[in-house]
Amino acid sequence: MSKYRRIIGFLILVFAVQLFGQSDALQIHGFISQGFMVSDENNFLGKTEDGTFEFNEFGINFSTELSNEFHVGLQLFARDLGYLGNDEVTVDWAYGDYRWKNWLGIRAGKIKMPLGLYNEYRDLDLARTSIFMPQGVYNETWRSTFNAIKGLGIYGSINTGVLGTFNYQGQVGALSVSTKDGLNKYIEEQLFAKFETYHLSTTYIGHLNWETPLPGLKLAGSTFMMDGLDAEGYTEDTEFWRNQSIGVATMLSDQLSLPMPTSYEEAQQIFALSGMDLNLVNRYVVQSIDNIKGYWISGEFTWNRIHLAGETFMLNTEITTVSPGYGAAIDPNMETLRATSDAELGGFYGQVGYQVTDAFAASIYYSEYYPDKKDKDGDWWEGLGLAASNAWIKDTAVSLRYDLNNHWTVKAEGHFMDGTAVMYWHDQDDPANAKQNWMLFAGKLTYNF
Amino acid sequence: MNLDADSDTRQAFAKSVHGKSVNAIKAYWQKKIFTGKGVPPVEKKSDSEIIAFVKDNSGAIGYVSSKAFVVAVKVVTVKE
Repeated sequence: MSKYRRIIGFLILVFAVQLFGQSDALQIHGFISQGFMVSDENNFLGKTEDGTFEFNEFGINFSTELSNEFHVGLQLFARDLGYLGNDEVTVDWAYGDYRWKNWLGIRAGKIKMPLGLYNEYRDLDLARTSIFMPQGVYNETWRSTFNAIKGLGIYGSINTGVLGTFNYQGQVGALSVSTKDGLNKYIEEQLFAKFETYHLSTTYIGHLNWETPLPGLKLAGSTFMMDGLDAEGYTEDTEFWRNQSIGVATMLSDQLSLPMPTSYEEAQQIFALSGMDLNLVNRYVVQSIDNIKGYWISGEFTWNRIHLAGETFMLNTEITTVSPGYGAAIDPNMETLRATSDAELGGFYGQVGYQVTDAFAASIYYSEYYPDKKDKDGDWWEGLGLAASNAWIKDTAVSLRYDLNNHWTVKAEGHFMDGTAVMYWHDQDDPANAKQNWMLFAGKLTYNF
Repeated sequence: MNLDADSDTRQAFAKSVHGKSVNAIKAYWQKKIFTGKGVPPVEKKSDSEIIAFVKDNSGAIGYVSSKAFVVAVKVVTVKE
């Protein structure tokens, strides 16, 4: 079904719900947003340098209480954010929820993941003043992977009285990554490869938040653990892999007493003479990301019309690139090329919001994110001939929100950026010269019912 | 059950019972609705619709304005 048919179909559904109302047994709610983005330099998730309307979201959910303790529901969701989503309708969540006691409930199905304070609501434009969540903790390109888990969850709320209330969630299940996901494009860009298949191991999530005895103060911690994922694909014909191939051919030339190669073409000749298939261009490769552990520490404080929030996030993992059937030139006993490195990425943000009137709110946040905390200066990127600023992004964002009535909300936002992480360098017109300092403006109109 | 968000009675109920504005309570329920974690109270447009629903549904509870004509349902008095 074409994108525009999906949009029209959704609008018809919204109109029908509004016209015919809802039954008391089945509740139907949803939202539809249309936005616009423009940047003065660089392309952020789409062709924002030219200005783009490829920025919309639709969601509709159906829920019903089968008993006082048991309710079921599902939400369909589609979005288009530049490269991401393309209005493909997905099951955002769908699960049954049985609450036996206040302190123990069980969920089964596809469940939103409680990572940090706001991951569960990151698609709910109505839940915040800003348009974009702080990228230091809520990377927009990873949204579809870190949205929901298919499996089981337990949860509960324990009111201790003097010490406040503790709310917990535990989840176990499976995530999925498709080749259309932003995370896939991110991994592809790191390895200059095209991946076709993903295999993921079981994921475990824990979340605890504490509504402290001080009214309005909430603290939280979240954790994410996955043994690993494997992405299978092929390296692309890029300068990076051509240079790697020259390096291999150089070692091989020494063994075979041949002249050292000075170009990729000469490297290919050496491979042909050796009779060994050691070319690293268009080569089958497996990228394994193992021992994935993520941590979020969060706090928010609401007092009268003021809202403060701050979170930090880090993800540690071990990355191994494996190319089977390779290695004889390096070590006859090594059948497989294997390169392993530790990776640590993460970021943080601090935000201040003010509810000026019941309908009008403003907020400002500062966020930092590093895709590799061991290379905050971008030396690796410079070595590849790309902008060093891909190693960080520091974002100061000012947001305004106005609720026109109970159903309509309009927002405007400006970002003052230092760095180009969370952007895809493939999308830049001149990847080697991506601009370190740039601005992004966004506007959004949302209807909810 | 709730009255419509625009209702004066709902505004008064939210303030005096929940200690929050209607918008704050709506925001709470929106988070529940759009994550599947809860189903909000049914909303009705008038006192008479509230009374009719409570009359027809065992276990239901709602609130109406003090001027409403209440028949055929039990009235619960809340003392502070």
